[in-house]
Amino acid sequence: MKNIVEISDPKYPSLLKKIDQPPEKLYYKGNWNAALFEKCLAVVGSRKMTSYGRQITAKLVSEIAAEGITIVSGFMYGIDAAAHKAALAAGGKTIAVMPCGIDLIHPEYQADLYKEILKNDGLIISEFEGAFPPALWTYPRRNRIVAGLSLAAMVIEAGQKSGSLITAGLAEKYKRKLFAVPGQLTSTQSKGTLRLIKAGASIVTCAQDVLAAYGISNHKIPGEKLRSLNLNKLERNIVEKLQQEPMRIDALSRLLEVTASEIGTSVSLMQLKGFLFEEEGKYYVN
Amino acid sequence: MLIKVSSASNSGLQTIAIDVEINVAGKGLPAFEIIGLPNKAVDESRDRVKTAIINSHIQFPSRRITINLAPADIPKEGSFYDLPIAVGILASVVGYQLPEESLFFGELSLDGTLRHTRGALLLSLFAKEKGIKNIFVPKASANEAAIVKGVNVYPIESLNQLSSYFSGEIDLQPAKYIEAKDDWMNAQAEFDMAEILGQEQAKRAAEISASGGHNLFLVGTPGSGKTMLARALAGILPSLSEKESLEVTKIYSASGRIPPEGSLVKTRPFRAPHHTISRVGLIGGSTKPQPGEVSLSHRGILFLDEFSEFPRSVLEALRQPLEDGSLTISRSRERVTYPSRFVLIASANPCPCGYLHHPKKPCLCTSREVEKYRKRVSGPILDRIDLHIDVPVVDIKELAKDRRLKDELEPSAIIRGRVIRARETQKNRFFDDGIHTNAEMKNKHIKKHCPLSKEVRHLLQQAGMNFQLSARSYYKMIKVARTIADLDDSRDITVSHMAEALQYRPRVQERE
Amino acid sequence: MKTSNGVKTKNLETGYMGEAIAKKYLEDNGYRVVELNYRTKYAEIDLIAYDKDVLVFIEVRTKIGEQFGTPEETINKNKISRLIRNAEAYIAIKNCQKECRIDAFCVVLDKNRKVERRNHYKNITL
Repeated sequence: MKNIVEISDPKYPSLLKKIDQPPEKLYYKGNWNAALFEKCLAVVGSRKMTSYGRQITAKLVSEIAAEGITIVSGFMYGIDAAAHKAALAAGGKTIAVMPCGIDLIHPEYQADLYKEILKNDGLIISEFEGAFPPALWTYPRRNRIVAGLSLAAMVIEAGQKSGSLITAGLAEKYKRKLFAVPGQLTSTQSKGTLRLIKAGASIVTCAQDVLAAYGISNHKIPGEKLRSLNLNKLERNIVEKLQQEPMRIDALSRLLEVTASEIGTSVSLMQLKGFLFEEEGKYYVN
Repeated sequence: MLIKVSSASNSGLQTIAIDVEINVAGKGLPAFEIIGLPNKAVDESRDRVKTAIINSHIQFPSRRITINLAPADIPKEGSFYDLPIAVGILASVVGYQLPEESLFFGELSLDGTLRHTRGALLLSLFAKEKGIKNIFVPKASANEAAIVKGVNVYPIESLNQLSSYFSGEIDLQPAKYIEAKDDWMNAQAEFDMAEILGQEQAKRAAEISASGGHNLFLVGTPGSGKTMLARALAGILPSLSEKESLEVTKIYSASGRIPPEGSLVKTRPFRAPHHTISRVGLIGGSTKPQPGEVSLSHRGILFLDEFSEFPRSVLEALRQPLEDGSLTISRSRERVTYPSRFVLIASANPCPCGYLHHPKKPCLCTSREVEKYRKRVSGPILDRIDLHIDVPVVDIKELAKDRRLKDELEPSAIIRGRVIRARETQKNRFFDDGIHTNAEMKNKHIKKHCPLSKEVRHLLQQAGMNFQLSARSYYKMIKVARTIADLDDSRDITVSHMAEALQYRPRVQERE
Repeated sequence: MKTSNGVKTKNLETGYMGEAIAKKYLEDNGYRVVELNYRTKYAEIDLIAYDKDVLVFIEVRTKIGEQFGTPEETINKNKISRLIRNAEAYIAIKNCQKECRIDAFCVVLDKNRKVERRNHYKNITL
């Protein structure tokens, strides 16, 4: 079986044809399924992901992917990998576009993620044949496919000179919608995204902002279902504090004047019930 | 004239009887020889003994003196044959009648006085075992030997004193028997738990660790108080029992770590070797196997700061002692077993630069670097650590302002009370199992002592899926939950016990 | 020793002088000298005497001036082991059953062959 789709093939994604110099051939791994290309969102961002970046990627992407949007990204470490992972975690679809020959896994140490994508009916594609090595110039080429495949592009964290800004530029050039996720004004990894927002990119404050562009409107905000659940007094107090500010068990223990042992117990139980999630020791209301 | 003096030699914690035979020939050229596989230190005892005798103003015989250390096929080392050799020569020159059933042991100084010599306790224990009534040891080592009941320990200051005793000019009193009491207070640990502000969860983990003997892994940025916490943990452990104290003292005696005039080791050892330590330094060894840090921390705490900086080969060597509580060092000439039942407290930075998740300082590491750094600690070692906990940086200034918090902080003594109770519960439970703490439980013990209700099992399964727990972690969680239940005086492990235990699950991805 | 004949003769003369001095000294101190320059197959023993009942082998070392080293320095480990071998040979030949020892006697002469100092070292092998 030859895993190649040529530009003349009816299976070739129509959106991609519309860009300048679309790739003549697409090599792929996995099952080519035209439905995969119907609603694509490019998610790109910095390799130097901050903890905020990881957290917000997991949250936004999983909510978006859960609505059936295919997440397209570049399989690089940092935001790219986080986006693929979040899509998989939400049971969604994802496409990884490689900057190298189709037979290579780059970066190699993400082989686990690579297998995971294929196992979950995702797709790995590349315009380069065989074991073509990645080079400086292949990354922008790859970015043009990421942007070209997608109806919209979302940038989560980008430094001043991030490669994801190239993808953002290409998306605008191809008349696709551009989303940017705001970050802290002080963070170097927010400089790029904030500039995009200033220049007119749509600001993302929740998954709904992005989903609207795909005509999905009645997205449920997961946090809301919490209120209806019956929690005991300590649990209610914990949720109340955490809604104000995410914090560690130590801080909760001090604020509520309850031993760390009791807080730990409640928090574990609530986490397993899906009310809370933990990120680097701090607990957040889901 | 042939004289026989009894002494003993230590190999690890074993003691072997050694007969020192002294022959002073009536003819032939004068000479002084030691035979019977002596090493350099023993061979040099010729010069020490000769000079010490001369400096004690006793005529050194101008005869042919042959010393044999029997049995002749065991290699002899150390300086403690000085005294038996000197005694034998004195007896042959002056014609003293040596007391019967006596062991002699000690190193001589050139001026004829006796020096503190390692292993006096082992000798004393040996004498008791063999029914030997008297032992003569250097005065500085007498307290160490006097721990053993039923053995007359004669503290010897110098050759002159001993010779006066033999000739009946003075009388010698045996050292007083030093009784080991169970009710010692732990000597104050360096830090009291009440001195640590914040870190509520880490303190709780320390309490669980101390109660169940669980190993503890602390992850936190530099300056977050990992070391302080580890040192304070020493203060909440129950004090050593008489039996434990003797075990520890034996190891310290064998390696010469008991100071002159020192006696029983009464405080739990706290050892914190630097990460440049060698394999031999950590687990023990060399040609004459010496106990390493793992044995020196027997019944106490082994604190390995900067755990991920330790060479892998060194850490891998921890596997046997962690698993078995003892360590066998085999060398071509001998094989020695040292006990090594300790609580391991490991601490590490969250990333190479140390400031990952720090509220103020930026972390300079890429996620790739962080991942690589965390993988540096070997999986099998992490598998043997039950409790994993983050130690975040606390804003001390902010916390110190809050007087209310400060006054309410629990002192170590109260926490220790709970720990002792929990240990007592465990002691009764494991009466027939030959183990002492929950951490020592093997799978069969877990099956026997930790039946889980349907709800608890369900919770654990749910956690297994959500937190990607390995099969090993699954058992660790049960052990930790058992200890939490013991602290709670609960016979059964409840859902809340298990839920709390899940807080201490390994966060570093384990490799299967 | 491949030095000129004159020097060798001179050294020998010095040696004999030293031995004579030693013999005199020992006899004055109650020793009974039994052998002078006793030759075994390997070497010779300078003096053999009885100190009461003890058989004493005496090695005599003589030097003129101490600029080039003391006589004591010339008795090294090697020399001592040779002395022991010679003594044991003598004991064997004479089938001696007595207590024995080895002494050293050091003599320093000045330019005019006058005695500057002499020292008797007892029991050098122990």
